[in-house]
Amino acid sequence: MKSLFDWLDDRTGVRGFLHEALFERVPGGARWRYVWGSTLSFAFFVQLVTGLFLWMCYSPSAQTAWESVYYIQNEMQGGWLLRGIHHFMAQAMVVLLVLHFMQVVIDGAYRAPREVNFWLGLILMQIVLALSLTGYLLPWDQKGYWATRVATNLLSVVPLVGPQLQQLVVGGADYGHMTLTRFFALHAGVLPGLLIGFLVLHIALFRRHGLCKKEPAKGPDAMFWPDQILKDAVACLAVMAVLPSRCVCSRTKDQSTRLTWAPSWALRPIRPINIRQPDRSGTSCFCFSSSSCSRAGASVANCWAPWSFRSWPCWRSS
Amino acid sequence: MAKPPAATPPREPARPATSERRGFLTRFGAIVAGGIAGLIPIVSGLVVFFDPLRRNGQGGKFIRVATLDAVPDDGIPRQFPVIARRVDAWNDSLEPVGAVYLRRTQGQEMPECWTATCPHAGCFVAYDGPTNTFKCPCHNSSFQVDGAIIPPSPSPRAMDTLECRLDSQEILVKFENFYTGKADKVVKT
Repeated sequence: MKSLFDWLDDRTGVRGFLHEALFERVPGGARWRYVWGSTLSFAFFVQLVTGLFLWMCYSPSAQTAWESVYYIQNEMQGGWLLRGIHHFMAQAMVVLLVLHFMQVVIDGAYRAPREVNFWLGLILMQIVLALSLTGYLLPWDQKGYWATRVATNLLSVVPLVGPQLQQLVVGGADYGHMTLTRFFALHAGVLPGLLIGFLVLHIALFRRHGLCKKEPAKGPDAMFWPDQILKDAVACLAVMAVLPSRCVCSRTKDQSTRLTWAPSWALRPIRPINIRQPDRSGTSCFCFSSSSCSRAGASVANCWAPWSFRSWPCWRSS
Repeated sequence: MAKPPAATPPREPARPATSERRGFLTRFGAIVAGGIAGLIPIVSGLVVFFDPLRRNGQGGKFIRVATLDAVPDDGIPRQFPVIARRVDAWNDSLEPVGAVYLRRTQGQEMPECWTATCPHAGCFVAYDGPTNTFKCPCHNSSFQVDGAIIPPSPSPRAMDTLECRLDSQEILVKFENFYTGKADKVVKT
């Protein structure tokens, strides 16, 4: 066994790679507050695995999407659990994203020299939300159908190119097969690909700068393996443990057929745009522009955070 | 003469046993917790992945395929589609599930019946009038008009016969699928 590993190491340098990956210094010792990035990566791993298996049973067309999801949920052994894990982990991911973001803000990890990594994090956040939006449609149930119909109709009020943009996203003049195939390609191909790419950059830069140390230190420096990994693994297990109970609860519900068309809770902050009364004088266009401007403004403000909060004494690390 | 003191090996600095045990527990805990968390999605995915092994075939029922008039007793085989209810994962529909050849020789009341599926690899064989044989377009298996194999042939066995019966003037066929590529005719259940 050892000689096999020696041979592999000689040909690939795997030992050095493992050493570099595992023996990262954790200044001030392992802490529970450092687990959020790892739980997010774990959540993405779970989504990749469960998504890949769901992909083997899913058929993205207007005539078969709901039927195939029903088949997974009610006919296949363990299908309800697999789909439940994917469904609830998608929501847990948004919660973990907020926790990770808050930890970064509170610890001041967005400041020099980590600004670029903060921006990468903001991009990753948008990709996760886009995955949430595209995944919502795929069961082609009442919720996904109407929520995405609203979302794609909103695109048409974008100034100048709105109608063309909507038509491109919907995949034709009308909502149908092509909408599903496009959303599926985005959800299972383009967006995860982008997420992996940006995640690699995010982690590479994280390793370059090291952990943003929380003062005061709790003890002497520790190693990522096994001290921090133990905490990370327990946190991941805790996240995972919450899901099956939710899957079991949801199994008894009448899946997919109820007539509710609220957007996914994670996307509800943009809902005020939809509820405002449009009139003939272009107010809806104005509402959309103002809302999207405020959202874009918030994103820009986020990007500016590394400098704007530089001097806040309460968050300054000594 | 004083005996020189026995050389004692230099003592290693005492390593606290508790910290060593703690290190082991940390590693063990990390592997177990991480392993369980990671295995849950993988195992639940694999359970779904192996679901198809629980599915059974839907053959074995007698299905009306033609009237007796449609198969004159002239010794020429005629092809008929087999239309049946088929549950294909999430679709439940009435559709062609296969095809059969029926043939009657002079004076024969009950027709002979073969499935059109080639026993070699499952393509549909075609009846070739000029040579009065069945020919498979995929790998050139060919069969006599009574289903017997014409050597040399990639097919390991003769054409598969199907059971049929008459109900007044209608022909009912017990439609089944068989494993291909084997010397024996084994029905798919």
